[in-house]
Amino acid sequence: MAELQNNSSTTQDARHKHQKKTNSTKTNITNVGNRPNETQVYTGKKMLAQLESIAKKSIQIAGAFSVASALLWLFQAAIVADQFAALIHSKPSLLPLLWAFIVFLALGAARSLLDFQSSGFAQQAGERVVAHIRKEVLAGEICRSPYDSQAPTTAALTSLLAEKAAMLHPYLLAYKPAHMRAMVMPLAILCCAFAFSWVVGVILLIAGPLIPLFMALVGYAAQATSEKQLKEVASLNTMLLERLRALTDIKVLGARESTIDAFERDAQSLQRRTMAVLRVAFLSSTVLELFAALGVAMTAVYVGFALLGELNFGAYGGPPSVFAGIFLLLLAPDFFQPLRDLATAWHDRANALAVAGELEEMAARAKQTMLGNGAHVPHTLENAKEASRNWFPLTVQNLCYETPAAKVIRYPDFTVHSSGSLAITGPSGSGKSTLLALLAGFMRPQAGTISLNGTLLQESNVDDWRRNLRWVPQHLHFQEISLRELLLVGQPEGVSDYQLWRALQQAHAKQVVRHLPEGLESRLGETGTGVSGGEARRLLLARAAVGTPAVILADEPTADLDEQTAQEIRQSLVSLATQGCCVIVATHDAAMASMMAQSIRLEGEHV
Amino acid sequence: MYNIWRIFIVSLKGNYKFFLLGLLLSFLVLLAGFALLGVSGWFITATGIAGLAGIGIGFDVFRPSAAIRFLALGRTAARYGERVLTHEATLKALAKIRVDLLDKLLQKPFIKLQKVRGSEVLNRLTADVDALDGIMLRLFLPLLAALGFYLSTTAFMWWLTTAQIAFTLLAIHLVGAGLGLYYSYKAAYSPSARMEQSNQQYRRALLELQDAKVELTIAGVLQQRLQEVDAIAKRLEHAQANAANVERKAGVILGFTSMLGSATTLYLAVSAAKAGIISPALAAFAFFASLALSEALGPLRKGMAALGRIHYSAKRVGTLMQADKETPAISNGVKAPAQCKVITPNTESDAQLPMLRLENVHYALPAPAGCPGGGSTTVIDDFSMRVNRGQSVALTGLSGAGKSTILHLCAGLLAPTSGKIYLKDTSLDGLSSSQRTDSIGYLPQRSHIICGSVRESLVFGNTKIADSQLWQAIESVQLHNVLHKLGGLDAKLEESAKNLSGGEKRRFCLARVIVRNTSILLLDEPTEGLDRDTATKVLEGIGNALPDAAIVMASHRAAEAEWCDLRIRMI
Repeated sequence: MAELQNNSSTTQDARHKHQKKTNSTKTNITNVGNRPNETQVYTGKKMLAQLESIAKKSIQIAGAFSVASALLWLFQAAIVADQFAALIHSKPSLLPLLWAFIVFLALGAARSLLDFQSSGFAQQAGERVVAHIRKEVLAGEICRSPYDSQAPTTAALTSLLAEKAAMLHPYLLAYKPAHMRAMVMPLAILCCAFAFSWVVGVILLIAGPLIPLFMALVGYAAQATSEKQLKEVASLNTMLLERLRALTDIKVLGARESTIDAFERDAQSLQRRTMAVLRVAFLSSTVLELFAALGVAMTAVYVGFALLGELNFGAYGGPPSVFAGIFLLLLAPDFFQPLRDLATAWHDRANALAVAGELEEMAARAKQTMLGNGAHVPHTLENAKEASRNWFPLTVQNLCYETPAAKVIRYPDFTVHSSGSLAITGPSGSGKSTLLALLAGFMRPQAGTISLNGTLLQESNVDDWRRNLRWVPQHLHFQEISLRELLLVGQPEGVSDYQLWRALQQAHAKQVVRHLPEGLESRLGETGTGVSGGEARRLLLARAAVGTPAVILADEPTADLDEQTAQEIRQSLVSLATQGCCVIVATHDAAMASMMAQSIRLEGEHV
Repeated sequence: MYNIWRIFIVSLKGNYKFFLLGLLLSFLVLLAGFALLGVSGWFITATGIAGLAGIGIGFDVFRPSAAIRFLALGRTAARYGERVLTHEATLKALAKIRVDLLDKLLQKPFIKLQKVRGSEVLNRLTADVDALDGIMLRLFLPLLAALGFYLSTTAFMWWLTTAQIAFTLLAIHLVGAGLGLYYSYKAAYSPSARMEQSNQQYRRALLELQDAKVELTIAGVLQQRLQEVDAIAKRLEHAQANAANVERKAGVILGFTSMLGSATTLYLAVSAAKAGIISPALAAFAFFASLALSEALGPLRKGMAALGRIHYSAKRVGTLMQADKETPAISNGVKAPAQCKVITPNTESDAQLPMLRLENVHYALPAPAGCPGGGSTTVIDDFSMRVNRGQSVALTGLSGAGKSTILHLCAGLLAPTSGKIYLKDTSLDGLSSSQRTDSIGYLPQRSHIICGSVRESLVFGNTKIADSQLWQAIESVQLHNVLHKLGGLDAKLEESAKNLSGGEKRRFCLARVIVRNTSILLLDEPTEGLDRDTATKVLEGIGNALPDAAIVMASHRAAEAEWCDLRIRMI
């Protein structure tokens, strides 16, 4: 990936919208990120060239095959022209008719095969390039700290890797070979034309370059229209997603009809806008076709008049021959064809550039990495309990962290023992959650040490240390996995159902699971649909209690809960602490803090 | 095929005039192309012969050359018209399909809707429906136009040249196009479906990898997951390559078809001219026209390329189109010992009908798998209760005792396994869903607040509500200060109402229910996440706003239970 020295960031959203387009608007979004003074445009040209160099050979071969296939038409045309010229002159043709048939067909078959091979190489190139992007970018992004504020959003990275990266396929498959053909074919046909008749050459020469000119004009008009349409698509999608998330609410509030009406209006308005864009797009391709058709028609008419002897100029030494006339007429459409192909594939290039631009932008972002890489450290059930004690005491000394906003958080020194418990309190923004992240090695402190039984927490031992940690986040993100799988993430083989139910009991979550329709096999919605907020928190706590954790780090475990549920959660945490597990909570809740053996208070605001 | 056909029929409805006109124009476009190339070839050859014979002066050059110019211009104009017409009609049809799908979705039972994942359905309503545009634009219209074109040009060629030339050319093209289509239809479906599936899988894996990064890192499985994600990406690429290969092979079939057609025409036409059956100029016409015939194959090729995706999308949209309107499935309840202690509130006067009445309601679920000591399947057993006008009942008890289930049953979102529920004297299952929602206000445990203005998301489509009523509801849940600060009813709520806190969101949802002024309120933990003071104020606000409503709430907290007139403890 490119290592551009630039720290500015482009708004993901604007990029994203631009990405979804289907026409050829060029991306030129200036930076409106955190630092508005710096403007940096990521054109993507450099990155695209770099990506192409990964599969340079395949791309070149694909282009060469495609050009070769197009050039073979010249020979086919010559064979046909020869046949008709011989017919008119009543002379024997260069090739006997049967041979003309065979050679014409063989050349045709060869062209089909060349095209097939060309697209095969382009496909291979696409696979290599796309696989490279997916692998490298993901590997690069995954080692970021989960708390890195410069990290791309989840949705942005997902859509970049899943959908946008795939946009390089059509670019390599359609645009690149068309580009090669457009470089070679018009020139080759122009040479043939001038060789036989300068008038035909001039006709083509004039009609050809006019096409890009008109295209540019029409494309210019299209840009404004399509941007409006893109906004509409984006807003319709947002509106639709909102309604889809609120499906149950629409149902219980009896708002079906009004929702449908509103959606219908929006869908129709989008349809009208899309048509406006399409009309302009059709107009531009119509212009293209018109020029191509006129070019062919003019060639035909000129050649016809010249053959009649009415026009005595244009060829060298008399009117063009019948052979030349037919030959040139057969070539004329193919003079325009590569240009038309290129125009059709133009938006593929615009898309590829936008993707490459986004990659450039991502490569240029500042990166904060975490300690370690989350690799697997072998661990068995038997020695777990023993191993977990070896990490204590946990001592923090002179610990200091500087946020990206240049705020310095200085932490008080403290020591926790293997069955101790600690509350971290303090106002919002004083660095409570940050301390939990530092203890888990998700962030790197600027100064000070965290030591575990006398050994410094560092790159070499952090993954091992983390195996003994349990993390209780504020919110639940159930993925597409069952409750059982969720409870077992990262656990060694052989955890029995009995152990799971015991953990559920410890967290007061047994009833929650028993009343789910499918028990441990239930799959909950992405935000925990089917269980209440308190129940979800208890399930997360149960997950922390599975196995024999050395430390539980809990972030605001009682926030947003009613008193009764909060009390249950507090008791669960305390009972875990009494069973030999070290519990560290970051909390606002005074009752929670008072139940912990130790407590530290952060004051914040050391700038 | 059935799904594709059905969407074709749906698209035609109400739009068939546009499609017919579009079809006619695309037919004319092909015909004009045929005439343009044919006449040009004929013209050059004929002028060549006339020039050689020295009779150039007598040759009528103006009509053919005018025809060539006319065809060139006319073809372009027809092409533009055809594209605009067919696209307009297709987009209209797709917009209608999207609206229908959302409607069908909203008719699904509540329990199923709860499990719907927004992003997944969005994909169907957008990407899948988008892919369907090919059914008209790339499949049926080009196919019909090509058929008409082949038949009419064959007739014309037959008349102008020989039957042998005309029918051989027709046969080659029909067989070639047919083979290509058949092959694409057979071969492209599974790679396209696999590609779409792996794409979804890849997306999900990526999202999960990022969302659960902290958890995965702590569990020491991050690197392992990363490798799994890379493996899924490989599968996706593989499926993509397979789909592309089908397309490439179909391209070879069509390319070869067009070459075989032209080569054969060349051979037959030149031999016919040599034998003196047709003039050399007509032979040239035949060959040039055969080149134009291939133009009908171009759009078909695009259709074949899209066929796999169309086929797959049509199937997915087709299943979504089959609305299941059936009432919530009633499980084959296994009898189990009664688990509910029931207190029936005393009604002061039996003359006055209770607003809400449950009689011997029973509700059972299938047994959960793997729960030791489980086997309890009955959630509600023999539950009866009456709630009068202006009365409030709190359902208390541990999580999972069946509080929410009672509310679901009362709201008509679940059907009782046995027993009856009445609103006044009408049985609940005798009411239409709109009658139900008109008289019952239900606040689920979780709700989504749609983005837009405060007013829009509060009235949720019910435009008859006056602003003063809105403010009343807002005040009753103690949100007036917050919303005033935000900018009043026209203030914008962000996506997922991020500019409100958790407790404010809860109260907003409550206001959304109160605004509808129903005679029955079913509230599932209405004050969850509120501190005790606010909770009490909010509950009083509800009572003042709707003094006549019968209120049933599922409640965890003392504040709620104390406020209610009656408490039912569920075990």
